[in-house]
Amino acid sequence: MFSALLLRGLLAASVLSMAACGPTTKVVSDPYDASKIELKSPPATLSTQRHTGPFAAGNALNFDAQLKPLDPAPIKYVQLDTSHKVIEIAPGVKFSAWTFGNQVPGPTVRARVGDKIHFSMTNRSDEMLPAMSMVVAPMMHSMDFHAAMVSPQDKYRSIAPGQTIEFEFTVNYPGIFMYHCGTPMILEHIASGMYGAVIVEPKEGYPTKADREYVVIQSEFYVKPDPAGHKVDGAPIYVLDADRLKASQPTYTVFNGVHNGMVKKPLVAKPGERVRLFVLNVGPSKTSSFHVVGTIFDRVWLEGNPDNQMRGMQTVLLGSSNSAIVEMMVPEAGSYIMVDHHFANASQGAIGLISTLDQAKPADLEHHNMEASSTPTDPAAMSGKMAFESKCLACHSIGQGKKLGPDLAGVTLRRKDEWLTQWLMAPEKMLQSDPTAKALLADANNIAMPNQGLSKAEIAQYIAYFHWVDAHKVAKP
Amino acid sequence: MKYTLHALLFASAIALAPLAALACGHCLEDRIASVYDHSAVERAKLQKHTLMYLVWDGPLTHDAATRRWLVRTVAAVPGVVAGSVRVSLEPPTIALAFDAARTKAAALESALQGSLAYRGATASSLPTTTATAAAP
Repeated sequence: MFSALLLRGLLAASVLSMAACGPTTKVVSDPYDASKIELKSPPATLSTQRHTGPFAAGNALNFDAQLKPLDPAPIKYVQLDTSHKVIEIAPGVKFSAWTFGNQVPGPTVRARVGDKIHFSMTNRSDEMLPAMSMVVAPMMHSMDFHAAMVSPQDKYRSIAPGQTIEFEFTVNYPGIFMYHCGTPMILEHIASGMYGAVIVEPKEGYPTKADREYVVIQSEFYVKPDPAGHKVDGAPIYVLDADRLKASQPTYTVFNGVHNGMVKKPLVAKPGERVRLFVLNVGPSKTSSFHVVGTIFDRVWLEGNPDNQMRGMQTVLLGSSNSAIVEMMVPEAGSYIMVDHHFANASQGAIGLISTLDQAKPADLEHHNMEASSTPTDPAAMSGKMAFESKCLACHSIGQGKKLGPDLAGVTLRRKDEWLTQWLMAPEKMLQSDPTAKALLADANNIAMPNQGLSKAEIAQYIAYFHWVDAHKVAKP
Repeated sequence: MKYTLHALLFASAIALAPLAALACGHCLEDRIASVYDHSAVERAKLQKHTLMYLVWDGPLTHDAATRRWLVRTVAAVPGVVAGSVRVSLEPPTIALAFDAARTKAAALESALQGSLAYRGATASSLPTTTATAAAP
């Protein structure tokens, strides 16, 4: 009897004991545990020993959209010198750019969590071609790596032309990180081309296997023909348009530094392949709605970190300096169109192709009603476009219907250049005698178009733009 | 603090004293970058002048009229090289050149303080020196 009671008591105690303990808890290690993150970084060093020769060097660098496999070395030596050079951002648009590594975007750095980056940069903005020195002076520059965890006042300090800065840091988080010049005015330095990407792979690699890897960097350009009329190789040189920059009104929005660049030179893939895109929006001021027509993102790793995973996405929204890895299958032969689904941005050049064909057909784009170019490249027409968009849109549209004044799509088909010139020169005089002008006034509820005080050259630019619109049918009335 | 030609080469970019660094545009080199003029550096080298960078402060409106007033006021200080003054409103910074053989930096700064005090403004030179600049 006593034994039976004792046994029951022991059983009960053991049940209670088990209930109190509950199921065994497995401790999961945090890869971002502060104790595992390397924060030690020696002070930056400055010298006047200049780099010479190439403006960029290092096995971890990638100079094009196509990415090389990761260099296994645990220390990545990265040299990215600053330069000022002319780049062609659209056909005929030669822009006075400021660069890292003598290209825009700067070379892509590829590393792995735990790697050490040994960075070195000479400010070589004083090594310019004569054409450049006419429009821009040597200036101070700096480097800000979003991939680093360091004191900005030590590592990201601005250096003068001829100086070299060197520093080290360890990459602790996987992702796609922007780098850019952080010297005031930062907006101008980024908009002039001083940006690039650092790709940091997880320590164990990515959880999927991709057949193709490409980097796509979206950015904006704000340009105008040099007011002083300087030229390079006989063509007008374009300079930063500070007014448009401050108003966030880009003239071009592009992938990898070139208007419609990856339309002419598509990213190659085969049917059935898995494509991994490292997408970074560097802005400086616009958001990207990155989308690929014809497929779905199987996986999206926000900021390029597989811990931030989303599945089956159509579009990924990237603010300025946001990034994502997107992976997709190429379902069948064709050209898959990368766009910023803010179509105003796409129409400025943020468009490209992932194609199973060597050369994409124009119809691939027209199918989606996306013009390959909706920005004129002729300087006069481009100036006219800028003037129209800044002064005329309150009362007129191009292909969007009548506002206070008429829709100007097709205006060069309805009126002769002479008539348009006279009208723009002195509308009040035309209204006294010209029957067409009088009819326009009646149609606008007798609200006359004010005399804009335009010069002949400005009028010629407007008319060049209207001709370009009608030739390209940018927007249909 | 002695300002020399050697200092000129480094004054443009090297932070030696840890300034209160608050954010972008507030650290020493960012302030210098806002008024940096490469041609002025080259000219100062040729003429053996010294560049001085200062932070200005005071109850002044940050507009074009203030910039003009600051340029005029600084340029009128004895010892400041004609045409060498550059003023940034944001970050509030002044650059000037002077002949160290004829004018002491401290005397120039003191005279500048007196001129700016008229409108309640102040200016203090940025700590750029050769003392610990380790040029290789």
